[in-house]
Amino acid sequence: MHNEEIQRSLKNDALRCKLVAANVSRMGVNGGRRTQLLRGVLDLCLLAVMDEGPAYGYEMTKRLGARGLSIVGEGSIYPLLGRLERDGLVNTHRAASNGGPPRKYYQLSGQGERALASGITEWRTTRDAVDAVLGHATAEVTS
Amino acid sequence: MSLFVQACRAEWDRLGVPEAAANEMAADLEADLAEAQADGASPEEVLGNGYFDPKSFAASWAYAKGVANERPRSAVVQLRTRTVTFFSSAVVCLALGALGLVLFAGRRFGSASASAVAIRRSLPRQMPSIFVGPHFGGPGIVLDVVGLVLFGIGIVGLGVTLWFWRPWSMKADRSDRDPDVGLPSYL
Repeated sequence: MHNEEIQRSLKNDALRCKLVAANVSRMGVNGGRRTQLLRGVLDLCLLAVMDEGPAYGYEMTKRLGARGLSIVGEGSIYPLLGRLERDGLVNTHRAASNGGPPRKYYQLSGQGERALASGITEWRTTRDAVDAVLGHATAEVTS
Repeated sequence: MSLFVQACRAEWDRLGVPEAAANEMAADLEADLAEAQADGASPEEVLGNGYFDPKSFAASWAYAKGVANERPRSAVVQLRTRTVTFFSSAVVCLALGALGLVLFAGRRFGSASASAVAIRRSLPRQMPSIFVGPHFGGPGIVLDVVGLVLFGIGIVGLGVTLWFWRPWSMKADRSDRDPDVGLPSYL
């Protein structure tokens, strides 16, 4: 009887371990997917927040955060800003910030505006297609 | 200057980033981090995962801006591998060519170098039927053929090696070919 209890306890522990492992694995997959999704659209998001007006690095982070897009746990925006600048999608100038030291402000160039417009179209097309697929899958699961 | 910015500066110096560009990036970073601190935000909210790896962060930024002079580490390793491959292949090709010449010249000019004699003696007395025909004129013909074939292989091998090496392809900045260069590995 005592052995049976021990075996049952061991089985429960094993089951619990499997559940924990599955959860950790699922978190890893989801985290990786979010990173991949962000990788594809973060530059577009940066262009979009710059469309509201010139901004420096941290200001863009704040604008993204205000719209619910936090980069905590993800990569930095600075390399992306560097690439956008190198590709001629943004223009930069230095100007005094509010009481702080002069900052480097980024603003959309003409090329950047065109890239933003085409990027938004691409994003919406892709999003609609994915939504159509995922919406169908959800309907199958719930029915 | 914060420790993080100092670490970035050190990496930019190592990568040969021009002083003006490094100063500008450091100043921007310092100002952003200071403002974030004043807002009560963590550095991670500004830098993402880059906060935990200043070297990678600094390198990513410099490559993305196109201000780093040093080649990416993977390209350096690739160049080194290609160089080693080139030299080792060249040595093999030269050895094959030398073997062919020794065999060929040894018979043609009648020079009895020790190596040629040793090689000739090591060859089987029963030649393959392809060499034993009506035109078979003795071991010298066979050695001619073997020498020429080996020499031909050496030349072809050298050509192939040179084609694979293509040092000029390494001169181009990798960042010009890879649109994702500069992006952190975690993004």
